[in-house]
Amino acid sequence: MRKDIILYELKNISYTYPNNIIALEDISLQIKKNSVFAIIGANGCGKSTLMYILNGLIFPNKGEIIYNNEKLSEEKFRDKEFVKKFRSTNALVFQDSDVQLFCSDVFSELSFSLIQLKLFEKEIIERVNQTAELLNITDLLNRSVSALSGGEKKKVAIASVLTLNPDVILLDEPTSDLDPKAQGLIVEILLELHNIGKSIIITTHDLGLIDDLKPQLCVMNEQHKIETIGKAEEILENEELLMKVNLIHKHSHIHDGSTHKHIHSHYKIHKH
Amino acid sequence: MLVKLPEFLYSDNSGSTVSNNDQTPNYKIKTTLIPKKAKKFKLKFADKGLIKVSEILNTYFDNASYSNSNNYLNKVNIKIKLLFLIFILLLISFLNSIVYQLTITIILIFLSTILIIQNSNKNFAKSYIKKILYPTFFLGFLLSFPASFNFIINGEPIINLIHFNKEYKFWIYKLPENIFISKEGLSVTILITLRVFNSICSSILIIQSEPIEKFIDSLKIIFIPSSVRFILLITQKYIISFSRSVLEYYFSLKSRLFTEPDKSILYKITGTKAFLLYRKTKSKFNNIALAMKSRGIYNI
Repeated sequence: MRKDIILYELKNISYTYPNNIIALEDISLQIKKNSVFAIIGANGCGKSTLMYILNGLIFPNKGEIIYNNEKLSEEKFRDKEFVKKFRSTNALVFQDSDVQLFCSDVFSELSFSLIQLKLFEKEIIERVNQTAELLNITDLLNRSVSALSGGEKKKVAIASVLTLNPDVILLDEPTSDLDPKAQGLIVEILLELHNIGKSIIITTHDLGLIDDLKPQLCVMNEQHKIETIGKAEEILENEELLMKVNLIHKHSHIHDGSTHKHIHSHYKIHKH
Repeated sequence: MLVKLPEFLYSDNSGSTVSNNDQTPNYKIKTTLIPKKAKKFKLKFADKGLIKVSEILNTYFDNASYSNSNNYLNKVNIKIKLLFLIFILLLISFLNSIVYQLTITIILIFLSTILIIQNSNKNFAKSYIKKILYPTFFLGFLLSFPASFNFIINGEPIINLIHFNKEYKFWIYKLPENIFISKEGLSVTILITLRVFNSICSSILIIQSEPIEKFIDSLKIIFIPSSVRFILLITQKYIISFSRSVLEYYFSLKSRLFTEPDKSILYKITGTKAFLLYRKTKSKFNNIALAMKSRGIYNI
């Protein structure tokens, strides 16, 4: 029953940056509650901008965005009660962890949202410790954020969002900067979060991640428009489409002394 | 089960666990971000301010989107454009007559109009006009306007404003009996405003037509040493990179704030972030410099 509830509805939205650079053009889509939804596309196609719009950080120049049957607009975000409710249930992990983390140490970073929510101290400590344990960053809790590596920062950024226990989790390139083991852990966490009823929205150009999550997929092209929306399994099989949006490429190499060209992608569909 | 999630993630986040008490609980945990006072900080001005500053920096320093458009200025050799700019800037500095300055203004407006028509893009026109008019108003007109009054430059009255019974003296300042806009003062205001307009308009007109990198590179024809050009280029990249980092940081803060933050928290966050941004942009700065060197720019 719950799966049919619409979480986001985007109606013909367009966004142009002040220096005249088009980021999104005529985007219309629906995202269901308690689903895994992924936006894929080549670099610069507008994925991050779309995430900012879904998180109510910027607002489209044209079109409208409906979230839980309410229109998201600048006026709406002047309502303090709405902002509190929205921000405590809808969280974004930024592509660049450096910009997301602003506290001096990892513990402060993970407890930041919880202190704002005025949770009881015991609960804050519990949530921080449990989340740190989940992401294998317990030994980093007292470390300075600036002293972390790229992968550690990414884990801290994800943990800082998970401690909040949001209903909607937006992740902009969640596996970038992570080693394969950590990538596997993130996939497992995301799948389990989906199992317990969270809505997961990710952007990526990592087709391996898509293959693991099997989300509803929105493919964006380099003209900043939606190329297609459909099931991950079907889209991943459509090599022509993936070539068109620059997610796979033709690649030449030598076999037994003769050169030949074939389609190449950096993932392999796992079949049982 | 794929992985065991923490217990709290299984609970409903409808707000039942959130304290409705306005007072912050007396936390004893070691974190620097516990609010101390109840004073709230309005983020609205930061909201508009940061976005505006970033927008201005990006539109002034990142001209890549316009520099490739096909207009008459793109076709002129960059060295000729640079020499034209230097010539016109010298002319603007030396000419002290309003008539001459006005003639230059008319020529520049004519050239700009052709450019705008050729681009036939509403956003380009808006951005181009804003880039010239805002600094002209603030740096030209507003700064020089007080010179129009007779207590700064005395002269023939044009518009009478205030009449006092007697003249007032404060230390070295003197407020005359009649305050009016003087003809001589107004001439100075007009001259300064026109000079600022002409300088900005000619610079924008030329710089707009080429990527900044090429423009800086062309400075070698006026014997600007390669090290100075290198510094200019890095500075331009640094400004863009820094303004984007600041804007993204602002978004991340906005994304994680539920209420108007406590002043003490905001000061600490800003202090920490300023340090982190400094570290990040410094490392970016170094990387940009290394990348430019590795690509043989200026052969340093």
